Amino acid sequence: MSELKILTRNVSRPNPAHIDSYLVNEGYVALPRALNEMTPEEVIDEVKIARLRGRGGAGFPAGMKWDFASRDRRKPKYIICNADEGEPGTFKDRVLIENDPHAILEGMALAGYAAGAEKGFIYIRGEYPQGARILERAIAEATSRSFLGDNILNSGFNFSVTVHRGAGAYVCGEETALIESLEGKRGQSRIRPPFPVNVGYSNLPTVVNNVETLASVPPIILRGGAWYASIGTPECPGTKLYSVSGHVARPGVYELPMGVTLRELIFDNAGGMREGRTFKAAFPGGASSACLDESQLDVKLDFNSLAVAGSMLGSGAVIVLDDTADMVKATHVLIKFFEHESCGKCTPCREGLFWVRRILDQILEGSASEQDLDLLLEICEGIRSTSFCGLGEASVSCVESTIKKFRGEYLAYLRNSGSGEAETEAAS
Amino acid sequence: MMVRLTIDGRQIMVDGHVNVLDAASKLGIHIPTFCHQARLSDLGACRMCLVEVEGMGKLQTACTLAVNDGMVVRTDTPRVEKARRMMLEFLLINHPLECTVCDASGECTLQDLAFKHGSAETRFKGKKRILRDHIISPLIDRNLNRCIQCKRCVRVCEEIQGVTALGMSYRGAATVVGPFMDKSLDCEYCSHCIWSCPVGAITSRAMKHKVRTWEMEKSEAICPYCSCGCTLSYNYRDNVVYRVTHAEGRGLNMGSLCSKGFFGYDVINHPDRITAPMVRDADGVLRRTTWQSALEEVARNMKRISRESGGKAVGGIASDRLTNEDLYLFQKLMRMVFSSNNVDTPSGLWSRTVVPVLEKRMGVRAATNSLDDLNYTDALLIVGCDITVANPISGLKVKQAIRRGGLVTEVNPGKTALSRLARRSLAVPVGKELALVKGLIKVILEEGLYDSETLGKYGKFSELEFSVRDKSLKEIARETDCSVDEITQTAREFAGAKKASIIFGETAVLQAGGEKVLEAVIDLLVLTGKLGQEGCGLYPILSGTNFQGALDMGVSPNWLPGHAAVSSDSERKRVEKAWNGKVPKDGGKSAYEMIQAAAAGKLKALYLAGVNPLATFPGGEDLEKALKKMEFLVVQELFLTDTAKLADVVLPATSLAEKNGTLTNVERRVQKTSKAIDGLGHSLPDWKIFSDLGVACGEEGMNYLNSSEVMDEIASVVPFYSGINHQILADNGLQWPFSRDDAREVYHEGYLGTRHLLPEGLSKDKQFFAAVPVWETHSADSKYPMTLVLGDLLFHSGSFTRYSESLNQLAAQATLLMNPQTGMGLDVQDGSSVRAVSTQGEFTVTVSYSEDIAPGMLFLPRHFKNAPVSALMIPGPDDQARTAIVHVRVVKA
Repeated sequence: MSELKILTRNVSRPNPAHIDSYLVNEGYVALPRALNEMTPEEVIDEVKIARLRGRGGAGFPAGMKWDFASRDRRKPKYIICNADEGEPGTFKDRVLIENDPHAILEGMALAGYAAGAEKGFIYIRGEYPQGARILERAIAEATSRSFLGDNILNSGFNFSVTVHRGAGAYVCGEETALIESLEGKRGQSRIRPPFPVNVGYSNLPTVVNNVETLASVPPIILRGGAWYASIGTPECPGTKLYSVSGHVARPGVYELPMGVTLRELIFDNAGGMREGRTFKAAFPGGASSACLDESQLDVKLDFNSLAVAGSMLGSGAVIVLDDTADMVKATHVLIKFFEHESCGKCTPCREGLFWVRRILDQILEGSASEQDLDLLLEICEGIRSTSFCGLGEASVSCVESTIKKFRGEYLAYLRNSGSGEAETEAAS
Repeated sequence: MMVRLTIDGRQIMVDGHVNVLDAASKLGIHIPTFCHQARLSDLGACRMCLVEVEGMGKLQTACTLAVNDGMVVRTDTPRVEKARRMMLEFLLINHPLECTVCDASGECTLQDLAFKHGSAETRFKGKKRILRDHIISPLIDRNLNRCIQCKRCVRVCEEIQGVTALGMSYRGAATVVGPFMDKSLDCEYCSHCIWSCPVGAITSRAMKHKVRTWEMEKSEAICPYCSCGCTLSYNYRDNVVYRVTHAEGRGLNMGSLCSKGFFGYDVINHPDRITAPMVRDADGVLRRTTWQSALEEVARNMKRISRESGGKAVGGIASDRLTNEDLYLFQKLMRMVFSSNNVDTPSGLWSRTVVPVLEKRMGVRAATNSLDDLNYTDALLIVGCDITVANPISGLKVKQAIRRGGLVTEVNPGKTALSRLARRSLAVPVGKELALVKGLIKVILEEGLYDSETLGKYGKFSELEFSVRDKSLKEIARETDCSVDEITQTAREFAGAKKASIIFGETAVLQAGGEKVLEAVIDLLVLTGKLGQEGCGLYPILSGTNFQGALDMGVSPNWLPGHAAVSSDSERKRVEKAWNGKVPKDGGKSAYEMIQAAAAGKLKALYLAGVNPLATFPGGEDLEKALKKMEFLVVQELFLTDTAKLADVVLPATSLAEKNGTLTNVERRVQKTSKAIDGLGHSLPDWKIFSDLGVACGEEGMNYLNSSEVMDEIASVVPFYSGINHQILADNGLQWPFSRDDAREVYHEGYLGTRHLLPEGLSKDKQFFAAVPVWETHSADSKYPMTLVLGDLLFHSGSFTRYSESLNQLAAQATLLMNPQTGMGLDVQDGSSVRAVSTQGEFTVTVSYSEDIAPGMLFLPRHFKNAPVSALMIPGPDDQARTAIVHVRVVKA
């Protein structure tokens, strides 16, 4: 399966972020069409027909989210574009932010029109300073041409957008933590329900959509939901941006119809494995997904198929490891990330990850025993089943899946416990 | 809406807003939790309360899960038990197992739950996380390693106290609770964080390593430090009070306390307490003696002077910190035994200023409404009062109102702890409060915002309109240092609110002409119809603990018990009949008048009960001379104060922790306070001393077995106390008036007594509008251009708390607070010494710059020895001795 450029249609154009480049290629055509010819309900219906599912990781139907928000009678309402792209291995939103910011803004304006919001925020991770500048310039451009601001294109619809830079917390990619942070508070998840669509920013109805989700909206309005739904798989229509990283020949962002297999992605698009190396494992949905092994190369990379395979699509961050990889060390790296990023709110994530990392330290140091592996799994189960938010829940997938699929590598460390040679043995 | 759900196989009907945790507790099923507390916002963070719910895959936190009809919950499955054990194991990874030396041991939730659910062996290997730790304040200790990050302290500080002194820093396992930027704690020391901590992470330094929690007994009592009347719990062992704890959910404070209530207990077992009577011997030295000989000495001299020079040569001043029983017997002793109406309390000045206006205008003699109403007020006007200092827990209720969206406007010469939270804080200069209130009336009249029923009920507003005609809003705004918009908005908010009240305080009243402000405030209430209903009324607030009770008990030169006028023959007869004794006919002298009479040689014997004039009364050196001149001075005290050192007889009294009795708080609530420990040494409760003294004078009518008997007599003499006794008050305070018939009836939602006065509005014989013609209460003398506001600090009340070592750690010295702008104008630096000079006298004090004080105003805390404000204040009759405001000149020392 080869690339199908819908979201990335403008990426290779000269000066792609400029509004004129965007306008050349049917930019800001969907917005006036919606404002002039469609009711907000019709816009929502079109997105429902497209069966567009949220690209941030949860895969929740975007049309339904907008519908819930539009039905809430409280005002004002807000649209938040989640550009806090923090999942290790994910860099696809950055491509859109830096190369096609107007697609995001047009998508936000359409979402605002559909849901009845007049204010939008782009919450962009602090590590994307250039992206923030590009977005701010794009907002100024769009406002000066009446695609944003008051009375857009004389339609009577007002919509303005503000860029807010995050301060470097992974958890702020979780929508309620993002909202807390946007409100100036400590970035920690809120109790759900109520959900942001009803009680979000300033406790008012708020739609939080991922960058990629919003950028998908203008083409859907332009060509119709049915067209969009015909791409990809029936349950997961459309194209998906896959961030491919790790031991492949050509890492990068690839736009492919949903349902492409791992094998097709790596070998038909990303140039296959590094010279002379063979595939060992892949984390298909970033650091928080369970790894797939060689036997799973033909799993389709969509929400449903990956769930069946015991993993998840997440943000489509495919981290590929070849035969040189030490799975225990790789897991240790990932757990150190989650331990560092745990916000500290709930007990299992805060204390449990500290413990898990300690045991992995001990395994690598050669001071652990085989019982510790069972303890590790028990702790992971505890963290996964009792954590407050998705961060804790998903944080231990790497440990559980690598122990399940690569138990031998752990055992190699344990067998050499105390010999001081564990590292050399396992790495060879 | 009620819903039915099943928990562990048992069905229960509960309100639909309840969470599963509370529903379970109704069934007696205890679901363990660390982070949940009823008064705080939901967090769901500790994950200890996980339960299984049919149809929901994951375990759910009971504290955040709303009940649903038909919900089936299980709290007793192996899955739930495993999760609980896991959480405990997680928490114990890093929690130090130092229960042996932890002050929270014995009342630690983690300890209790680990004992119940946890495993005895730990599977964690390796080093625990050890966090840098240090003391963050003189009185509050933080131990980060013990912290389980339940955030209760952070939430209580923000949501209840409104201070936000604590927050979370860093993240993950490195998360720490602490002050901003990990500096030292900058807060009100309300102790809520100590209360809310389920482990030993935040503890009181005042009791550190002194006693184990399980060794102490607990006893509920009423806090002695202000007129709010909070319920607290004394914790004691071997007749020593080791700490105060919060009586969860009890009293009008629902357990909440302030710094004084929580830390001020060390006054009780202070080593300097007087424990035996003392009589001055022939050599002029105070020597310890027996009660019998001391009382005989007092009886002989008081009776002699009364007989020889008449009752007018005898006087008595009692503290408003005493109980109703103490105070009632005090005035009975003075009147009946020593034939003198010279009885007063230091707060009598307030009563004689405020009560006649309240009486004339509304026919009431106290706050019209309940403190509880403050929680739900929509608009509140606070005039001349720092409620967070005068009544800290009433202040909390105002803060709750603000959290609910209530619009609060402060009119005060300086900023308070509320200013940051309130809708607006108007720094109106002293003397101009009247102009501000009249400005509000003007807006309401001009915009027609008055209550339409008022017009029909109370007639025309022509006089009122006339009284506000001669100044434009612009002029008013200029004079009051406000903007026209601020005045207009305040007026609109107040008039437009459903529930609107006014709090009125000392700074406004105890200045020359202060009653005019009160008159205008009442005009405003009548005009807007904010009277006689829940949430609408007037709160005159003085901080003195039992100032209302002192008035009710007749500790007043002009009023007998029950506010009956001494001058009324029929009232006097009634009291005489009850006492089977005589009451002198002529009105007596006020406290300050007594001192003046002493200086003039007309007052020869003075009985001081719990009063230290040298610390608090006007007069400076003249006052000391007057006291020395006394032929006979009795001081009944806890400590050998400066005044006591001058006495001929010193009688050791007990603190409130050592006696039974009742106190009447600022909202007319009569509350029973109970003895925790026995009187120290030979000290006796004040009522007992008065009773014994009466008997020693040969008056059998002064013989009482206990304070309960005294209350029974009070109930028979004071009409609006009729029907109450110690037994009825045992569990709940009652707001007077109550009568014998309805005292046992539930008056309103579980309240007994009267929550709101004036349900029918004002009666026809009242003056509906005073229409105060002038615009300022008084103007300053050009020789003394600065206005000095004298007041309390949050950490002290009166001179009594100066004996608390803990509170002295928070504030031990007075400094003269002034705005830097004022300081620069005077060429006075922060920290330099100045002389404050009034018409009466002067003293030298150190200056502190503070942006909280309005330019041109000065603030000085009373009752500190290093700043004897007594020297500056004008002694004399009520209309001169207004003790809250002094006009001074400040010069470099």
